[in-house]
Amino acid sequence: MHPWRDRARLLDIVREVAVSDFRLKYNDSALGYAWGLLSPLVMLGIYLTVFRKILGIGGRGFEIYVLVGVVFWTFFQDCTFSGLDALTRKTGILKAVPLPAVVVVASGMFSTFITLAINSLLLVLVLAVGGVLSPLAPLAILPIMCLGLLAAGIGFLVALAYVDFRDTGLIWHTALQALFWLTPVVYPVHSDAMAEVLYLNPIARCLFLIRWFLTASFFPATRFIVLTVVFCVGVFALGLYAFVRRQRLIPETL
Amino acid sequence: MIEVTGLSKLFRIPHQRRRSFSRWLVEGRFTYETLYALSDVSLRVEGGEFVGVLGKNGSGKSTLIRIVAGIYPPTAGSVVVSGRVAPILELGVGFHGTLSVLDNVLLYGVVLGIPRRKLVAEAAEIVAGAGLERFTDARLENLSTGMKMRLAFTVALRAEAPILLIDEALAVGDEAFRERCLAELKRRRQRGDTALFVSHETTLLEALCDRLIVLDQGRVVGAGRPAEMIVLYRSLRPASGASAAVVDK
Repeated sequence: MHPWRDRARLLDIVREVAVSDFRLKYNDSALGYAWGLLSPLVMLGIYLTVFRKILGIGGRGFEIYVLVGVVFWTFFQDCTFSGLDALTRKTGILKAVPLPAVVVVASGMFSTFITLAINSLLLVLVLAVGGVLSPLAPLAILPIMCLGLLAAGIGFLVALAYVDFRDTGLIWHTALQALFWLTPVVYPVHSDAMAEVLYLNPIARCLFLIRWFLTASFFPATRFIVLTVVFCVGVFALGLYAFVRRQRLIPETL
Repeated sequence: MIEVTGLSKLFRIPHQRRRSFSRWLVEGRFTYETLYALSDVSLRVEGGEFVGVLGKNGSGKSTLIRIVAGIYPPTAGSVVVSGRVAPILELGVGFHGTLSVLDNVLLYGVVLGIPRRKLVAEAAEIVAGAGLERFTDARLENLSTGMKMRLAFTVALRAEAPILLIDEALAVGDEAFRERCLAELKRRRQRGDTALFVSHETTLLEALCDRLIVLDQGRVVGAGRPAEMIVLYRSLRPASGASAAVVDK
């Protein structure tokens, strides 16, 4: 049997690499996992100060709005970077062991999914304690999964770009900055005209749905949900397909 | 059994030192030099046989073993390997200095294809086998190079695959380490395992192999008894600079 087809082995690798990446990320910090929480919280404080105190923007519930935005944006950012990061850090493994590159990239991204799961639970807890958690909250799993698929799909594309272009990391870093301000992460959407443009962006759609299900108590438009799901699944399928199609040549190209 | 038939491997080596998006925008495209690292290589390793591949730098040895291991796809020809393979191309690949000895055993073990459950059950035994039982929870980076090599080799041997692929991996340790490796490999040979070695260390190959194959500039130039092949290998002229570049691929 070709080692690529040994599914049990590949699953063991995904698990072990993801867990060790997760540990490595927080191992060197005395605060451990708390550091992973502290950094978005500091950002939250900064955004709230700037928007509320300096610019005077934001009505009731703005803190929750920004909190949800920052938690899920941080995941999107980390996930899309970690695939590329895994490919650069695990070049040695790819050249010494028969291993599909998709497994390396997927396990790199998987560790950010662990963080996402923990942070989502903590977020729900905060909302529940604050008394703003909607009874629809369990449905938020759907847009969270959509965001996960979207991030993973883009992560595969970014990692693939790295194979040809070594400055992909720098470019993606800049692109993420632009994307951050093109997505209503820290500012509210005021007008319909603004919404029409902003919700062309699938990250914005996911964030909208996550916020909605977590805090609102009636159902959003079905069409909006369906289109978001289709788009996210589509991007994931495209990213995965494009990556898998070229992965045989990745070890020798790196 | 390993059977390689008419194997060729073409590499595209970019002329540009760094392939960046900005450079691509300016220059429009990248240009490549093509180079055959292997051309029309055929060989057969029977079950229970230990075969060594001998060649100068840039002769295509590492490319050959990587294709047999399933890491690189061949450009032409075919490779058939029947049986489970333990590719020991680099000892301790994937080791992480900041993780504990135990975590590294699990990580390296699953990468080599050892089932996680087996590793968890035998972890204490493996660490003891490497003589590191006092350091199970220590960070790997605090261990000496020799200790790390011992640990890696002990894990690698747990793979229990009947086909071993070894590329210079044993050249790193000191004499005691090599003696230990050699003893273990001899034991494997008696047990009837199969192995393909790649090396330019003639003494090691002579001590272990039934047969040697000599590669020069990507072609098989000889195959036969170790003593004769070593003479042939020594008579080869040094590799040219162009093909030496392929070694780093």
